[in-house]
Amino acid sequence: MQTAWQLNPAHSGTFIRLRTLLEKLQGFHTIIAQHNNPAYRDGLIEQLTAANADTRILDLKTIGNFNAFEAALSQFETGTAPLQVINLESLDSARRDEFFRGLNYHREHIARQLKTSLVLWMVEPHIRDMALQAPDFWAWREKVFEFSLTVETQVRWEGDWQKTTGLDREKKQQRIQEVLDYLKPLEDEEATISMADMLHELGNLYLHLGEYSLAKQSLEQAHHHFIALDEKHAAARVLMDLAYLQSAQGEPAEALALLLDKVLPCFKELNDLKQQAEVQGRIADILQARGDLEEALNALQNDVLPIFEKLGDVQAKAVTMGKIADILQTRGQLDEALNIRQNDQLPVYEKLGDVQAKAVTMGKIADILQTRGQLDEALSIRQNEELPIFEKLGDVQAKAVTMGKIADILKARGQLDEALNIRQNDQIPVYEKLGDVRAKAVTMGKIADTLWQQDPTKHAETIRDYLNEALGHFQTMQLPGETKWIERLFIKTGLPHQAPADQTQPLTPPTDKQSPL
Amino acid sequence: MSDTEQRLSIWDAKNNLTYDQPLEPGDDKFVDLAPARGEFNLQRLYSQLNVDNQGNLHKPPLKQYILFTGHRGCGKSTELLRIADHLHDPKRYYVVHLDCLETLDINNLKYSDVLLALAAALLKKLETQHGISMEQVHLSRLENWYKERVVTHSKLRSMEAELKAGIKTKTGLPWLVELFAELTNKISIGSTYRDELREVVRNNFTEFSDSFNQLIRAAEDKVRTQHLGERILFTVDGTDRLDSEDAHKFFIEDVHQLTQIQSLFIYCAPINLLRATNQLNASFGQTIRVPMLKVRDRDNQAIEANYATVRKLVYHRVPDYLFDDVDTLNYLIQYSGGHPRDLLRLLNIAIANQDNELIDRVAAARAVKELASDYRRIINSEEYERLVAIDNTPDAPDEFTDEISNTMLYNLILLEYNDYYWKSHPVITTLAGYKKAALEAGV
Repeated sequence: MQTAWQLNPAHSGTFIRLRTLLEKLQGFHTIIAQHNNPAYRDGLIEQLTAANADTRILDLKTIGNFNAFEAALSQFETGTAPLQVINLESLDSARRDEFFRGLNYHREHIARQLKTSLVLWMVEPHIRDMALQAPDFWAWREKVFEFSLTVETQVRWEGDWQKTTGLDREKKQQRIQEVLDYLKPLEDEEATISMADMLHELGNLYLHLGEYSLAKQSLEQAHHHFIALDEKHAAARVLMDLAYLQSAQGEPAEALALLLDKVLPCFKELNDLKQQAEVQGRIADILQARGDLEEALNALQNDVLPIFEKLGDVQAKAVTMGKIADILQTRGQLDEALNIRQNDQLPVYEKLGDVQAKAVTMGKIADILQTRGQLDEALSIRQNEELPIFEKLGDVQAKAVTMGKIADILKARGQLDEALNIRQNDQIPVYEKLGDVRAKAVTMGKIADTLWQQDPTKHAETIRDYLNEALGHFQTMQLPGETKWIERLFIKTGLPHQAPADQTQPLTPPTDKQSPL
Repeated sequence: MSDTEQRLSIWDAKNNLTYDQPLEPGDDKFVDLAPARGEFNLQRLYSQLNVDNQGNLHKPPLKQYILFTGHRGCGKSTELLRIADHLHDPKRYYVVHLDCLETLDINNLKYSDVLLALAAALLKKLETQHGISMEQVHLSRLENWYKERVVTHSKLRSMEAELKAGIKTKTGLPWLVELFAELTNKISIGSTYRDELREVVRNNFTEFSDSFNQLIRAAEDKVRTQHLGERILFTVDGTDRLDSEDAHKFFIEDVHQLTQIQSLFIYCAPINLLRATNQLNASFGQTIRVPMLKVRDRDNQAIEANYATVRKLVYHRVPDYLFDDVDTLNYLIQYSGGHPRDLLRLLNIAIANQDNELIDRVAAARAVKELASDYRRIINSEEYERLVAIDNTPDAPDEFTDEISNTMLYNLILLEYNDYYWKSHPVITTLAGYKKAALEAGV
């Protein structure tokens, strides 16, 4: 959002329904909007009327009584813009009673006068008073829209699963059991926010453990519950995760369709710029992953960057510049990519004191140097700039990934024993502990490849075992790209395999780190 | 639907679900709901006016004051228009309809306002719709009442000057038509003359009523001669809007004045007025209640034949292809309790809640939940216990007939069905408070 005001996610469905209704209604209609916070109410009205220059608001605090209200109505020119009436609560009880009586008796007159929708913003006790004191006016209500904020948390923030999905495998399993124990007795109960949140968290936990079918099941249930609760914002966030799952399982077209047709329109309707940018970023990731680099670049430069610039979010802008650099790097435009890393990313992270982002960026610079064959410089960055930071942060996964890249350099330099040692001792145990099946399988493929390079005959059986296990994991997870890579390794090593791979596919190993959710 | 006929979008259909206009007879959306209201039919009302089953008028009564009531939103206004349409016939009655909500300010409405407006409506209809001319002899008394009582009133002289400027040179019936229209207008807009005009009518009521009665007799001669009807019948809508205090003044305290006008009247009245049965019976010949659509019997079992009628009502507004399934519509009908306006409301909310241009079960369930939430706002927690008790003893509402139940009927928390039982509004039975009370009652 552009201002400090933010739509509570719990009201996202209600907000969209109100806006749609106001657009669709013809003639006079009465709409009651319940609120308990004037600042929040004003934000809602601003968002509702953003696209309509002909905004009409009547403030009863200024107007004072029913007669003046009716007189004010007669001054309005006939138009289609709804009339928003606020601050009924500012009238004393006698004037409020008189107001209700006037509404009840002059219902038809008001309808004839206004000829468009009347939105009455009211606090809960006064809605009851209206229902009892102006029953005939109340009988014409279209619908009551509920925008009250809970007292203890003025805004309900949706779950951020980074904290739980960063847990190691054992803790993830513990958390899964905990969530399942919570959900089991509630199976036949009506959906609640807590249940939907828990299912969303469960889906993410399964996702990070590579349990894709369970992840899909939980996420779909979470989505179903959020829809039932009319939590459109949260439902769209679940769809983002489902799109990620589809993309990871080799269904980029379906993932793109979901993001473009369901998720993005929802955030646009809610005018949530930050989420829009995140979706556009995901779209760019998918386009990039399937090789549509030009389209991905276009999306990042034209759809994502302008939003972060508009929001003044320097960190998110730097991250986006990093994604642009990734694409340039993939296209071989190494100088341009290096320029972005050094000038658009590093200074920002240094200024923000974001040591982790700085370490990741240094790693990307090392990637460029590694590609250029500057192996010593690359190794130096890995060992001196990246590893110490990840060790200091206790980020075992990032450390394992970095160790893998060091192993890549060592392999390229012919130091095959050292490379194997890293893969077997610094990577595999970490991925096992984290339950990161995919990363483990990628590492196993790389071990097989290194063993083949070392001595194909001697290690033939071990190589076959590694490749079979990796293939099994990729097939279970339904990851077609990775599966094809292993099939190609079978061909390369001359080992028998039932389903020969499409040999037109390049033999580039996948990275052992997935895109962050 | 033919292939060439355009399918209605769900939002177009929604525009057929407005609350603000009763259906005129002949409206495409009109469906005769009387068969679905249980044993209710309008024959009892027609009998009071001596109209038999074949629609023949036998010797009409000299005067009759009928109250027409029912729950808010049950279709009273639509039914009243239908009654007026049926009775307005050369062989039956010459009906003059007054909608107080259109013509008058019902805030603090007085009998004088209504009688002046009725006179204005009669005069206008005679002159403008049928070009009837009246001999001066029949108009003189009303004219004199005005000249001697209104014009001479010290505080109304300036009003007289205004009226003269407006009416100018007209005489006879056209002059009276405009005069009474202006008088009604002065009252309706709450002008500075309103209180004085009311005072003049009140202080000289016998003169006014005699003059009005004479005009009615003469007008009846004219309409009979011109084969427009056998007698004049006034139908008055909008007086059911009066709150309990104003309704009590209008229908009970001032009933003597109302009944001084010797003609035939059907007045709409608020349902909670009926608690004063004894006082009303003394003055009003008959009270006709428009009951709920009887979609369930006293044992809460659905009555399929009546569901079919109600579905017809809905399909005239929202075509069947806009529902995912007929069961979804049946579900909404069930939770409307047979209350027509709440059925329209459930449909409206369901349309606002749908996501696929279709009213599906999810949207319908959400609508039921929202309507229940609306009712929760106005139920006092101790009332759940009574609702459960009434639901469990539908045959014996008498023991609960008191002020509390009257208020609950007025607020639609309780619904009244013909022949004769009460039930909680079905959406209320979904509320936690009701469920708790039912559990405590061992239901």
